[in-house]
Order: sequence, then C-alpha cells, then structure tokens
Amino acid sequence: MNQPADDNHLEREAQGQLTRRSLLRRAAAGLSGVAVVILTGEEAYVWGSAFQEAPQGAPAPVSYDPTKHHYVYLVDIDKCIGCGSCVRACERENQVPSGYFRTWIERYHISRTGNEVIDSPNGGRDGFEALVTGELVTKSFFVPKLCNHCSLTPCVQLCPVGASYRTPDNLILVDEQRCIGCSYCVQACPYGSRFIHPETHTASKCTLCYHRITKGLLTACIQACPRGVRKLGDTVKADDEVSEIIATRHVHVLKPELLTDPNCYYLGLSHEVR
Amino acid sequence: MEHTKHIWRAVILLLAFAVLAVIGRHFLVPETFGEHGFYRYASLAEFMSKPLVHGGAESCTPCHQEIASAKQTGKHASVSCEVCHAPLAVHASGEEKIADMPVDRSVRLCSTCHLRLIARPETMPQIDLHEHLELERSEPVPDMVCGLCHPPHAPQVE
Amino acid sequence: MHPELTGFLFPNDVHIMWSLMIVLYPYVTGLVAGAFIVSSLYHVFGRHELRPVARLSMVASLSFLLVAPLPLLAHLGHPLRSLNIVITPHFTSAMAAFGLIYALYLTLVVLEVWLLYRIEIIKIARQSRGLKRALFATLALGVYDTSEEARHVDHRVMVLLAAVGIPAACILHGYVGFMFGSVKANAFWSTPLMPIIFLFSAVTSGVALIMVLYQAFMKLSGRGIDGACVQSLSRWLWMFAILTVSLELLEIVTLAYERSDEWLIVGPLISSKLALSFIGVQMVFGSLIPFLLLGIVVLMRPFLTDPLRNTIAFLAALILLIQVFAMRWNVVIGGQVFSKSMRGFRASYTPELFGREGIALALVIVLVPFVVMTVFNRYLPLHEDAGRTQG
Repeated sequence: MNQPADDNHLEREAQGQLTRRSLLRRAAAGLSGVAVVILTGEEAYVWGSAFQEAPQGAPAPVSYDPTKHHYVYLVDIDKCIGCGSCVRACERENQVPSGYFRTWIERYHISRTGNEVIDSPNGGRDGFEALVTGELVTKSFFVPKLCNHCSLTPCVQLCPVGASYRTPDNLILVDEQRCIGCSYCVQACPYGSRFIHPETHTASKCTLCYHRITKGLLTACIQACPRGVRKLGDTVKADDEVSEIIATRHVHVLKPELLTDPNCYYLGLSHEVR
Repeated sequence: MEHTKHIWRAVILLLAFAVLAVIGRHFLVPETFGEHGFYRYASLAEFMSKPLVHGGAESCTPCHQEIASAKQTGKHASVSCEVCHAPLAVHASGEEKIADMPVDRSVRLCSTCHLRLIARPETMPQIDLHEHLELERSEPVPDMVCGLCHPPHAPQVE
Repeated sequence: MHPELTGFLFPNDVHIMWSLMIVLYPYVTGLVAGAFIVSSLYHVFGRHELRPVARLSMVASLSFLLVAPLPLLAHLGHPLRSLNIVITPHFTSAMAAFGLIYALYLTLVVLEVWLLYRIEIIKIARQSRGLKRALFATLALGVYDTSEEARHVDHRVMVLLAAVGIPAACILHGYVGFMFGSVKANAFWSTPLMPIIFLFSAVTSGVALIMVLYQAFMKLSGRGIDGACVQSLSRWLWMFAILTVSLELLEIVTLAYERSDEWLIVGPLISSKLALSFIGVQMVFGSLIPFLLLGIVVLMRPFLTDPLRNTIAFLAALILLIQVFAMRWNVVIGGQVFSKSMRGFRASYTPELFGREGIALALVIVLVPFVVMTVFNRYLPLHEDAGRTQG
C-alpha cells in the first residue's frame, strides 16, 4: 500500500479520495479537543464532546480491498520490557477511556516453588515499579495482551444483532451503530479484551487500528514499541515475516483449550499465563 | 366448522400483524447489511475513516532532519519520537505546526523503560536510580537529571 | 481506583456488566413459565384438584410476561436500539431468540387468557355502555357466540394451546439458561446442566408463586382455601424443589470432583465470595427448610389441620421464592465476581438504590404484575367460582 505521489494530491482530494495529507488535516482538525487535553497533561481522554467525529460514511481508500488481506499478530515475550508505550499509544490513537484497556501488559513473577505474583497496574500504561514479592523470583516476564481476533470467536457467535463481526481481512470489529450494549460479547470473551465504553455504551475493543493498517501504516502499539515486541503479519503477502515465524517456530496462543483459534500468536509464552 | 368465527378472527388478526411485522422489518434492515456476512458492511468504511493521531517517526523527519539523523546512529534509533513526546496530531496539522511538541525531561519518563526490574530482560539497559546516581538510599532522586549525561536523541552509553 | 480487588484480574474485568436487572429477568420469566405449567397441569394433564388455580395461574403468567422485557430495556446500553434484535437477529446467539420467542409466547398466553374469559367478556360487553362496551366488544372481536358448541371449540383450542405452551414456556425460560450455560469463557456458567437447572428452578418458583398468590387472594377476598388444591400444589412444589436443588448441587459437586481448571476459582468463589448468598440463603435457608416443611405437609398430612397445613405450605412457598431469586443472583452475579484470569475476585456487587439498574426499579417491576392482576380481577374475576365451564 504505497501512498500516491504528493503532487497530484489536490486533484485526488477533489475527487473525494483520501490522501495522507487530507487525512492528517482531518485528524488534526478533528482532534483539537484531544490536543488540548494532551497538552494540559491530563490523562483522561474525553470521547465525544470536544472531539469532532470523522465524517460518517466517508469512502474507504479506493486502493484497499479487505478481501485481499489476512492479518495475524505476533508478540515476542522475551523482548518486552513492560514500558507501557504501546498502552499509551493505543490510548491516544483510539481515545480509549481511562480505566479501560484495548491493550495491556501483565507482569509475572514466579518463584521456584511455583508461587505466582501477577500484576497489571493500570494495565501497565505508566510502566511498572519495582515489586518485592517475598520469595526468590526465578522466572519473570511481561505479557502484552490485546484482542486476539479469533477465527472461531465466541464473541461474534453470541452477538444477538450482528454488531460484532469478522471482516474479510480477518479482524473482529464492533459496529458502533448497531450495538445495543447488552454486554453478552464482553461475557463471552475468554481473554477480557472487551469492555463497554462508558460514553457510547457500546462494546469496544482493539480494532488493530483498522484506520491505520488499511492505509499501509502500522498499528499504534507496534509503532510505539521500542523493542519490536509486536508484529503485524499479512498471510496473503508472499514473504510475510510473521507468517514465516508462525509456520516455523514454536508459537503459542492464549487459552488454546477453548478452541477459539486466536490470530494473535506468542513467542516465549510460559504455562502460567492464562 | 361451525361456531369458530371468533377463532378465525383471532387467527386472521394475528396473521395480519405477522405479515406487517415481516414487511416492516424488511425496510428497517440497513443497506449493506449481509453483503459479506451477518453485519453492516458500511461499518468497515466507518472504521477506516477514523482520524489518524500518530504519524510515526517518518512524519517528524521532514521538519526535524538534524534530530532524525542524530537519532538514527544512537541507541534510541528504534524508539519512536512520539513515545517520549506526543502524537503528531498534537503538534502539526498537514505541514503546519499547531502547537509546541511537549518535552518531558523527567526521570519518570526515562524510568518507564530504564528502571531496573526483575522482569526486564538483561539485554535491556536498566539501572537502579540510587546506584546509578551514587546516592544514599534515603536521598531523594533529583528530577530531570538523566538528560544531563545522556542526550535523549542519541544517548551515549559508556 | 479499585480498592477491593483480591488476586489478579484482567484490567477490563473489574466491572460487573450484568446487574440486578439481569438477575431479575430470568426470575420473572421463570415465574411466567412456572405459572403456565401449573395452569397446564389442569388443562392438559387433567389435574382436577388444581381447578381453583387454573385461571389465576394463567393470568399471573400473563401479568409477569408483560413486564418481562422491562429489566432488559433498563439494562441495555441502547434500549432504543433493542428492536435490532428482531430486525437483524443473529440466530447463532441464544439471546437473539428472545424477540421471536417472546412474541410467540406472548401471543399464546394472550390467546389462552382470551379464550378462558371470552364468555365473561361477551357478558360484560352486553351489559355495559359507552367506552367500556366498545372496549369489551373489541376484546370479543365482535363475535357474541356463547353457545355450547362455541365453548366446546374454545376448550379444544385451549387444550391445544396449553399443550403447545409447555414446550414454549420451556424454551422461553430454557434459552436464558442456555445463554449462560453456553458461555465457555465463564467457569461458573459453562455447563450443559444450566438450562435444565434454570427450568426446574423456574417451575419451582412458579408453583411457589401460585401457592402464595392463591392463598393470599382467597384470604383477601374472604373465600375459603381449597385443601386438595393446596395439597396438590405442595406435592408438586416439593418434587420440583428437590429436583432443582439436586441439579444445582450436582453441578457444584461435579466441578469439585473433577478438579479441573474451573474448580480453582469456583471453589474459593463459593466458599468465600458467595458463602452467605449461596450456602446460607440458597441452600440452608432456601432449600433445606422448605424441604423439611413441605416434607411435613406431604408425608404427615393426617397429623395436620387444614389451617396449619396451609400456613406451612405458604411459608415454604415464600422461602422458595427467595431461594430461586438467590439462585439467579448467585449465578449471574457470582459468575462475574471472578476474573477470567482465574486468579482474582472483584468485591461483591451491591446494586444501587435508585437509577436505571437499581433496587427501586426492580421492586416496581415486580409489583406491577400484582397491580395488573388486581385491575384484571375487577372486571374478570380470577377465582374459580365465576367460571362455570372450562375454568
């Protein structure tokens, strides 16, 4: 997905196509409220009031065809340092309300006797502080989590109105206009990925930054990670790195016994992680 | 059958209601519903048209060449500018600057990555603040000291 | 932000999504199904001793059915979009069944009540004037046929509806149980037994409701209580209560015995978080005591005077109504008090007093059916003496 050359962006804009520039303009114009919030250092993001919504029903970028992609996600646990940059980036990119998480990081401290101390202070958004567990810790690591965009997902199966759905490019999304806020999908998700947005009263979760990946950009979390922990793959691409890793190395998924067929794979997952 | 007029009236009434309901429902189903599955296909376009907030490091380079080049050779090459500063949308709109980019020089920010934690892999440079600054345990850590020895865009590592 | 968390919870798991309203909904539909079964015991299975409560139970079923959607609407994030469930019902979801099942079942019960009272409606239409006459003439659908043949037709249709109504009532309430039982993500809910438990528990609550309603209604209207009816209700109540509690215990015992992953969290859930509401209220107070009381009524009948027997049965029924509510509470709330991390609990849930999902609204919803029945009774009597034909 290459961006068209900039010299005829005006012409294309006139035709209603979205160029990177016009997108950024719209983004900035629409986000003046959010910008004020960020500058004042306040971490609570207010959805709606100060935020002008993107024009509804805006045409999709003409170059993007959902049936020509099939996304998968990879997390490399051994590289994660628990800095929380991904959580903060996701929060800012998607105006995630405070106290709710589209992605989060868990920390595991495990001792030789099998004693486990697990924490996720504010989802790991502000990083972690040193923790004294009282037992000698022999194994410890961070586990970033997000919606697994499962192929056999219970959340789509249990949605009564067809608001939760699977896209042709292998994502699970929630139609904010159709959702009635019954919370059945939140109950159905074994991973705790979903929540009901306190202001829109609809189900909300990681969208794999659909507004970004459909333009050839990376998700906010992947872009923010300084260690390359997270990777996005597209199995349709011939030499896709993530597909290669999934096909050749020892990868895991969360709660495999539930047979949800997650599309989020982990390298280095230890058995204590649920 | 005789004496069933009331039953038939009830049945007809119910059938009429059912037919109305089915017809009415047809008009209430949104367009694009069911095109690719049991959902409203137009929802994808709505997601695609959500505004971009982050621009990525490549969006900073056009205006901040020198910093970008300096960063490229240093240890923070893989750290996106927006991680320590703020998303692009706060700072620029198109090619115009709309506000100053926040600059956070606090120890707190550097600690989110570099504080020594057991769970952090050893390959990650991490310090205990008091040790690193050669302070007594009881002494408070002064703020904004990291940048005095480590230029954030290309931190020198001895 | 959340001071009362113990252990480790997934960050999004700190909120309880399904509140008092979702506890109330299965309770109300359970009463609907149970009351209908009581009426069917007379109309379909020929339990003639239950004739005194046949009309009462049908009208009670309808009255509670009318308020059944209210707790759901109060809970939804977008109640005005609730029609989406009938516009685009996603039938892989048990919840989507609600629209169709509710509509069909409501139609069925309305028809039943209509047929039960058709003769009285015609009588009132003939005897009144003005608006009242217009209203009752409409209810009679403009047909004034009160002949013996017409009544016979009514009776045959009613029996058919009652027979169809039994599986319909089972589905109306059973689907709620299936909704919980089919959520594999929840260690406490996921079991094939769930729809059965809900159903038996529903019938228990329905019979208990009728027991309480019947005795109260007869007392308040100064009429005598039919002993054979109460005795029969007591027997049915005892049997269903035993089956219900056995099933509820079976589920827990199986989990404990198999010692699988679920028991790691469900065990501590029951012994610590749900100690009072499950062990205390649902089992000891709610199940053991009525079991003993009804056992006395059923097995020691010759030793009891009628008023004593009636009182004991009434008390047992009242306690069972509480037991079934406790069961709904423990399932709905209990299943959300632990995190899907299988390692942590949230603090117990306390419903708000006022507000969209509060206690005040719950009380109002529960009281409305009684108001409906009172108004209904003013025009179309609920007690048996008024109906001389098919009852």
